[in-house]
Amino acid sequence: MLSQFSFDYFFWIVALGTMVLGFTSGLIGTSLVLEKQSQLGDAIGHAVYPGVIIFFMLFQTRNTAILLVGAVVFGLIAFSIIQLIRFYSDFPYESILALVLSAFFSFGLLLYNVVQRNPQFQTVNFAGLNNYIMGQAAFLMWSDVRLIIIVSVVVVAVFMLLYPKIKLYLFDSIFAQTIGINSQWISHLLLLMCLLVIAVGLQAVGAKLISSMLVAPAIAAQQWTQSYGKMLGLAGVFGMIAAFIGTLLSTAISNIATGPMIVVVLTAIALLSLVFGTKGILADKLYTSHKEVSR
Amino acid sequence: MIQILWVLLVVASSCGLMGSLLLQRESLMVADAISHTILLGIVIAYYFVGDLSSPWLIVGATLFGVITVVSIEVLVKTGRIANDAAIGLVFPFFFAIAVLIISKYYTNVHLDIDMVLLGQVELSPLKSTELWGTLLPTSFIQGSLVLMLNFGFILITYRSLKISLFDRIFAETIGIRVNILDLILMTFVSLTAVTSFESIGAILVIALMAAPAMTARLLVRTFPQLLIVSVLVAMLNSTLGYYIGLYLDTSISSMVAVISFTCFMLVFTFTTIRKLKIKQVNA
Repeated sequence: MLSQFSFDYFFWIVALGTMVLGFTSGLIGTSLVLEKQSQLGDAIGHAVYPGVIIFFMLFQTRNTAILLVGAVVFGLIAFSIIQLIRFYSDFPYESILALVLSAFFSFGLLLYNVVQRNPQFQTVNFAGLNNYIMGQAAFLMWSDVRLIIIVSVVVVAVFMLLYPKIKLYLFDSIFAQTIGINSQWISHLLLLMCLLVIAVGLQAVGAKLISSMLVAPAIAAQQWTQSYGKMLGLAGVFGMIAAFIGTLLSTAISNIATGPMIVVVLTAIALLSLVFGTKGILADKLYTSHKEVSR
Repeated sequence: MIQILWVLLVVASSCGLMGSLLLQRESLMVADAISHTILLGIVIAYYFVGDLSSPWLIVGATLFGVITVVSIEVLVKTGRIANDAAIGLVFPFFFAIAVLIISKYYTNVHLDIDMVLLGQVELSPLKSTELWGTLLPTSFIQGSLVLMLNFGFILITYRSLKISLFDRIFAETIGIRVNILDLILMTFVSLTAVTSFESIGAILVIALMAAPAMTARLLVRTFPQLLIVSVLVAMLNSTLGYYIGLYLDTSISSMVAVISFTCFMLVFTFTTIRKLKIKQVNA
């Protein structure tokens, strides 16, 4: 099967894009998992969709950078509404997420319906807007990949720069506060970085599955180490490996979408780590039985 | 055309009823996961049956919803993954597999992603079944049946259900088998999601489970009131969404979801302002 296809230019463009995305999302996703905010990634992933459509309607262009700004704006609006409802009510957090997720995504679908039916928009090719739901990595162009790389470099750089503070905030936010780290500020910055990664990843993986790119690498990494620094590195590498294998498989096998394939590979890595990781189930069983013997 | 509204009303009532239970159980995001993973159940059942209108598809999909819940619980029980992360791991996985199978093998079959997201409530009158001499939309009959089942489930288990939703530990001490009750509850949620999602789509299922129940909880004080008001709000939302959707000539199911959220935000704003005013007076 592999012999039929060549590692051509387009394959490497797509692979480069998804791998960089996989690395960054794995890295930043660790903060979501450690903060027990995994579902927020899913909610924001869905909530940014109307932003993409509205900015398409306003500017009548499919320029990825412009649509990305729309996505970020709507991600921020959705997050503000979530916080507002959370502050003024006693609803379970997850119910607020479900509410905002479904409402925003439906609003996006409604707007997409308007675009489809309105002849005013027929001059611009709007067909690609659908790709933001399920993702279409195979159609990534160099300009899209460049955008992924730029955003990733910025996010990773900021993350590394603030790494000591972020680490303190994630593991002991009260101590962080006492030594003068503004927890609120760090938490918002982390969210903004997640939002940027989600927005830039929409085209490749889609609103439905982007949360997996954030959550799964972190879960996998947690099964191998207890140090946050190592967890970060592992999550990034897992994300990158899964992205490469997923892209490779979807190119080699016909009619296989890249985004879902990456998610399947990524989850497989996470489940295998859960069982075979050095901090996984098997190791735990072996370790405890060993302890009992020595006792 | 009015038959579309009938379908919406029965489906919305079921969702409103189940949504208020899920809100109390703090499992609305699990319901979100279910409403997506049942697609894999449908795909697998379709592989064996080869007929999209077979009732086995409903059975398979419902079963898969339950499998999703159990998988999440198994992952949480390992003690290595938090509940929210487990949901975030399981649901994209199953959904991605379903998408892969569909895009690989079933692209020519009428089983596409748009249908899953949006549903086709507009087309529901086209598929009818004769019942006592009148021609009714199949999804209406299906929806009514599920509504009755849901209602019967709540009626029969009412006391145990109420206790276990509000005080799980107390329920266990007085001998209620909370785990089994939970599983049955999630089976009914799954069944509701399956039958609803064919007509209104996965997203509206979640919107109708979350928004009406949450709107109702802002307005009422007791559990029976929550159930009743939640169903009423769900029906009101679908009626409004139906007429506005028709008037503006857009997708009805998206419109119902947007209206449901708007309705929630209005009630939320008013109740919050009132609460703040009372606080001010007291201070």
